[in-house]
Amino acid sequence: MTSLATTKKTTPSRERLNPLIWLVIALFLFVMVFPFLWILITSFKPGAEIYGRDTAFRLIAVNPTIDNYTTVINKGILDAVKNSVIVSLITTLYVVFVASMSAYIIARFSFRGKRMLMGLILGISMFPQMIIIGPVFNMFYNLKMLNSYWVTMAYSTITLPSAVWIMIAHFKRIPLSVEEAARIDGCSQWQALWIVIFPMAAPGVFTTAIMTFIAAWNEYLLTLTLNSDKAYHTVPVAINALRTQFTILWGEITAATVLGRGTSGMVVDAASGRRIWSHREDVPMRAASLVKLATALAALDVLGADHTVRTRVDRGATTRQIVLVGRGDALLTTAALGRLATATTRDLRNRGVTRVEVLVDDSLFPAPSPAPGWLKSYHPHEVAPVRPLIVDQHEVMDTALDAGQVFAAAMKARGIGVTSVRRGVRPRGAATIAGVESPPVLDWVERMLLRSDNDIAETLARLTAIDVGYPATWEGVNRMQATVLARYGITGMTLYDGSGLSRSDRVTARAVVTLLRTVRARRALRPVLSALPLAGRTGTLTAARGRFDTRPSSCAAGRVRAKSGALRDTVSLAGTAATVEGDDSLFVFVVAGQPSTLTVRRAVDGLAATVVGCW
Amino acid sequence: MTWKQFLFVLPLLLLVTTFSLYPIFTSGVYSLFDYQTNDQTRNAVYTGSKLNAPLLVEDGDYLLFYLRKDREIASPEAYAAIDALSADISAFLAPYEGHRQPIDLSEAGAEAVTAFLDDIEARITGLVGAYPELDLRVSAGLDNQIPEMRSTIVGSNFIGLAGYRQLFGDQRFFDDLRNTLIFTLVSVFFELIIGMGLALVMNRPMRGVGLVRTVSLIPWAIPTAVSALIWTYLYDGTSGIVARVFTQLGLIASPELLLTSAGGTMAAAIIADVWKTTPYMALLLLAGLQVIDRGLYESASVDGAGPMRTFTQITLPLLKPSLLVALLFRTLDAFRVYDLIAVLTKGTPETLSIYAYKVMIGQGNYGYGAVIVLAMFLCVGLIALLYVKVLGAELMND
Repeated sequence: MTSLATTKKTTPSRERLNPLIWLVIALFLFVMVFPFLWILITSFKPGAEIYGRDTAFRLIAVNPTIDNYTTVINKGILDAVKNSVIVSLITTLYVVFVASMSAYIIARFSFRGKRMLMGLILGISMFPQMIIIGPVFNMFYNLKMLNSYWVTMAYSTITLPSAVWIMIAHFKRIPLSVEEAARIDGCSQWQALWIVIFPMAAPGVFTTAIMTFIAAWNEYLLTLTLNSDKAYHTVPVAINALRTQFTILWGEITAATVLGRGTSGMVVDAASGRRIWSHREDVPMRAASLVKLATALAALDVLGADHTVRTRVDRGATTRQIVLVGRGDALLTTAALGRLATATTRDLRNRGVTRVEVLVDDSLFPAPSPAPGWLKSYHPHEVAPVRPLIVDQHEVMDTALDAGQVFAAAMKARGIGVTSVRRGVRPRGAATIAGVESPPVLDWVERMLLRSDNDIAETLARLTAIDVGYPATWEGVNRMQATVLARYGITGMTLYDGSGLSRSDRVTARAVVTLLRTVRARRALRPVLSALPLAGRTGTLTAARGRFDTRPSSCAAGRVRAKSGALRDTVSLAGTAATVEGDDSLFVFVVAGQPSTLTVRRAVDGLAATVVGCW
Repeated sequence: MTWKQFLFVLPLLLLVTTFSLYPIFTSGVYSLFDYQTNDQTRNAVYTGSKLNAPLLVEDGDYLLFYLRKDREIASPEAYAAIDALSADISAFLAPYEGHRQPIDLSEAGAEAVTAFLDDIEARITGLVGAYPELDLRVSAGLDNQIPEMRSTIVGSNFIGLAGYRQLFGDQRFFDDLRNTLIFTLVSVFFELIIGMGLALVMNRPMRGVGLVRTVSLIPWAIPTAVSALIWTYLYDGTSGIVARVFTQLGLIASPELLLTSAGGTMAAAIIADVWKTTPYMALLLLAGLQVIDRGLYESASVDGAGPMRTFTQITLPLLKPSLLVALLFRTLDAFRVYDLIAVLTKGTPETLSIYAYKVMIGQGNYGYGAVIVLAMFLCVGLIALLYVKVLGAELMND
């Protein structure tokens, strides 16, 4: 700087700078270029090296590869480039055309409202684009112009004002005499503009064209909003859809909410399975009712969606004895028992029997015992002792005898006397009098997941265990789950029951996400996802239960389907989220070590809203 | 202006009206309504009462479906009641079928709908009560469909200035306003200082100035969304080189803080913005510098003025118009920042644009979203006014 004035006098054209300034300039250039250089270097590294602790900072890749380039091309980046070129060209052409015409009038003539027009143009170039997003989206929606190149028309709001402004400046530099000469030669205004003025202002036209092209090329917000279809994505939008990782602001969220250190979770892109975010994803946690996801998967896989069971009435050892045989229909209703009673009555009448003893056979499952890790307080209202006979989901200590009583009452109502109701086993080879079919397993799964029904879960787990060939015991359930989960490569779940009530159950976030991906990928298992409660709307996630009904998580209402879980010190949520960007994400969050209050549940809902991207 | 001249300006006026003025006006209208796209009773601007006919018909169809199913299990003596109910519901729904949008509803019309719903609710209750052992499906309609059908009569969602009142109590808005102002002031400040230095350097006749000029334009020519993406890699907590270097220099305690803490994200966003837009600032200033008569500098040095004095007494005053224009445009640009932060951190530090986008597009709340953008609009106006006051009429001179 010191040499500025003195050297200028002696050597007017070139000067020698002192080394300090050169150093500053060199540093500046380095800073400007460095990000590109580094990305260039990184682009030749395989994924493991890019994220490796040591390899990430190496200048030269250990195993250089061009896979990243082929991947990006395979994912259709060239289509995005094509879109960008088309969109930018259309915008440039019409903007230069429109701007030239109006700039010509503004530069050449004075008229009323000219200052106002110029002020308007200047004002538009300044206002926040965000203000037009809502109305323009609605306009495009109503005119069915979403997902098309019509987006270029909306680009006028960001390109046209500055284009007009620059063109005015350039048109003014062209001497008036040139145009007058042209007019004398018989040119119309139209011809004067395009034949005389426009070519003479070529440098200005080029500047305008380049500025417009770059503005359109850089545009992000309008394309993101109006063209959500990947087929119309331009480069900036497409490239961000490709990104392999983004950061959920864990620190921010935990500070803003009451989640503590005992939190784990994982978020992945549903289609590709790439990890978006994870935290302690391999730490086994109690996950409460998330276990029902595994139960549902196993039931659909082993039994199938159409499987039903048949509750029967068999003959007893004597003609005055009938046996109500429980086959594990957890959805059995009084009405169904009534139909059973009607058929039985008809049979008894035909044989002239008017009084019977009702035996209740619940020997399909061994005598009930609490699962490892169950609390005494669970019985009977969290879950009834597991028996293969239950009616209307009455949660009582002995559901089988309860069902027997209901059946006996139905018999009495139909005119058959019942001497007693007691537990017993049907005689070998006894004939069947009547039977009622249960709803299909699909209904069970839906009801279980929607309401987080523990009785259905345990019954379903046992029926599945029997079908696989294991006993209907806790150990059998444990081995069945291990077998089925291993078949799908899901590791990291140690389960002792079918409902997740057990305090000994452990799952990792990664295992839950793997399970969600598994069921999403297979048509036969997909009901596991579609039956999940809809945030803020159905099942355990209704607004009435305080879920997804307050800001900030209310924005995710209707966009998240998830299984919720709660034990007294655990809150969990896992499912799918339709993100604002239009992709699906799979997520799981588990918060342990805090009393499971509504506040914590709402905080977990907030995490789901973060996945949606609307918080 | 002759009509021919008017024709020349017409395309401009049409575009500006359609894509700028009309949307601004519409936003103003939205801001007066409780307009939420994810709520069927509020997903448009309703000035009068409306009937959500599509929902009414859909719910009615459910009732008819239940009744059909119930007829299969019911005993013949119940047929008459079920058939009469089905026929009445069908007859009532007929005029409302085929609509895809809510329709206008007169006061008498609203009363008719309510009366009808009261009637069928009573009849369904009676039917269910008459055959308790049948477990009729239509009983579900009493819990679900009938209440929902009642909600299809939608009153006006005009709320006047309530949205604006909500804004004044909205702590998140003021937090975001603060974030936006910090981001704007700090980044424009650094852009000005560095850009000025760069412009002064480039204004000298020296070797290599072309290289400096070309290289410094690279960041500016890259789409913001793409450059933000580049920075996310550089800032990454485990593999980002910038995060690592900053940690080693002791600027941050641990590398992941750049993208996961409030202060870190603000710094990260500002650095990325300064990196990208400083060259643009420098070019605007350079244009201003180049029109300053070099003779002035020579006279100054003859008069014995030092470089500092030359800068403050000659360069700055003569540069003022270009300086203010450059500052104005950069300030407004920074104030409405969206894509940089949306891509860099998915929205932290939350600025007003991010908030508005989340409310409008993310939460589907167009009404309150419009209030936020109009508040932004007001801020932009104030900023522009401030500059124009300083600038005088220079900007508008023709």
